[in-house]
Amino acid sequence: MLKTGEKKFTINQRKRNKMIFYICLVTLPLIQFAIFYIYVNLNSIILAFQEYVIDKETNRGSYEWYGFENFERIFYKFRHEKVLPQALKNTLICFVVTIAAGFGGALMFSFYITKKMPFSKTFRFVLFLPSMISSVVLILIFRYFSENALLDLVNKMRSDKNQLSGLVYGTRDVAFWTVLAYTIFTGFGTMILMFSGAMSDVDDSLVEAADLDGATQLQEFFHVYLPLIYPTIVTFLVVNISGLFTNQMGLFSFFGGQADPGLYTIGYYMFKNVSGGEMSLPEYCELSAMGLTFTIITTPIVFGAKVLLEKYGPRTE
Amino acid sequence: MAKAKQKKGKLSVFTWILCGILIIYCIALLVPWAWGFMSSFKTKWDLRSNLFGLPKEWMFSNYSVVLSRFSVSVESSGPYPTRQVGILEMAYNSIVYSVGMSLSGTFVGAVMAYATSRYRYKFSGAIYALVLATMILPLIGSLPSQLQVARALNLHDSMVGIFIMKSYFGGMYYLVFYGTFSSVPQDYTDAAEIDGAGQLTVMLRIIFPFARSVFFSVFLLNFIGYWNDYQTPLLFVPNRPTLAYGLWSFANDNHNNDIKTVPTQLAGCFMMAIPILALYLIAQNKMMENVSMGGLKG
Repeated sequence: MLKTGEKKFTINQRKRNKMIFYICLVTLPLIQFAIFYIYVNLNSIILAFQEYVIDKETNRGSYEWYGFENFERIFYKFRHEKVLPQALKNTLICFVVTIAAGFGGALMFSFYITKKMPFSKTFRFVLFLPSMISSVVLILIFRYFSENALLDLVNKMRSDKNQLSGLVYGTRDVAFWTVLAYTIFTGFGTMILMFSGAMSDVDDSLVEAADLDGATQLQEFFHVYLPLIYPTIVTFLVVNISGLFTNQMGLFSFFGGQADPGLYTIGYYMFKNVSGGEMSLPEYCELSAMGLTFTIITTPIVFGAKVLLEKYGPRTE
Repeated sequence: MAKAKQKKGKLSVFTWILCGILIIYCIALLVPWAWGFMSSFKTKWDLRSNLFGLPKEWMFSNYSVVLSRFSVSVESSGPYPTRQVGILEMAYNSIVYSVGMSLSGTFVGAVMAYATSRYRYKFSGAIYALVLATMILPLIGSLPSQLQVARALNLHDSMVGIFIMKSYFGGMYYLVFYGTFSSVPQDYTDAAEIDGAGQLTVMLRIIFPFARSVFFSVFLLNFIGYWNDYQTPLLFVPNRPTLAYGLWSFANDNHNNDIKTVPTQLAGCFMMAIPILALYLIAQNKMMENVSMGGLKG
């Protein structure tokens, strides 16, 4: 039989061991986070106020304080040039069309798959296929199919005067909508994975109760499943809004760095200018300033959207 | 009651409309693939004159051309400024990159999720809130800074460097692991501790086995994502090209022009897609049934 003092010592020792083990588990990941997330983002803010200068004697570059000049340059480009305003417009169009066309489709397809309707396994396999295969592979196949087979078919349906020169490499308008259609078409996979996972967690008794009350499948979809998976929908919408200005719309896969400026999105513009290796070093400061500007604009929108969606969404009661 | 039972067996108009849309979608998605696969066996002249038909002559040599002559030019530390990286070296780089990134990312995420879900200190709550905040905080334009930090720490153009840089514990899969570990009753831990198990033994031999299938699914999804990723290797390990980077480079730059025909590019596409297709066919149920995420609230 242990004396009271000995038992207390053992419990404290166990608590201490737990604490030591916990510290060992979390230390390295937190150090990694501190360096590669916190420090990197702080450094990005500092870069936004710097300029890359090359010393003429040593031919070496360094970053020096530049104040708000980068921000002035960006606002000048938005006011007086065509590329960035068009990129912003394309980004917003892409977001709205993706949400309108892709989101609703993904929810309904997920419902179909969850309810194990006819051929649901086959549809699930095909719907998720674009998320499994490399975007480079998908885009190359789509690019050559569009520019060869599909273009031929489309031109056969148009009059001789109205022939298209290309679907991906044609006029800016045609190319933009072709690329956007491709983005929506191949973007269902991740959404369906999330939504069907959430729908499969819905309690069967609720679905059976709705069935017994005579609810149709359409009513089941709107009045049972949608309210119950609403938190997942909110998460997905919020994460999409958060990624608004990093969305490249697949342009870098389609065109490398050679896309028509009329097709740019903000995400593509920024990635293209950073991808030139050491040639891109002078661009870092202006890109960081642009990133900081869009972060400041997007943050209240993201949190506002989250609050509004949670406040005014359907109630499970 | 009888009416409800009768309704159960019958599919509604809504269902039939959805089925119809899905059939059209599947055909629209698979037709370019079928066309691409058939065209990968044609010559470039055959493709121009015979867009929709079967190949006049089946050019299996398109695939052997890609295997033997496809290469990417990268900087060299040797006597010449550049060197050619062939498909075998790219495949090796792809395997190292995909396995390394998946293992490090999945393991770190699982360990942090275990620590924060099983050890209910206030700090664990703070870490959880931090993960949620980083998921929705829209930090844009940090790529230049990441590259600058990578170069400053000598992690740029190094596989180990990219593993260290990108093994962040947060994200969607952290929440998946968190949910899994939280659902394991505390009784298992208590019983193991009473039997004299240390904390490491409890983690590895008692609790982690509960998440075995989730770990496998997350690893697999990560592996596929990194296998297909070309932008991160392009920026962070430019002189160790992976297959995805190589294929992108093949299609978009001006090298390899003598072999860069549409059929050979399509052959390259299918050579890259087939391993992942095979993996997907074998493991699709495992991948999709173990990943489930609720919403973010609060």
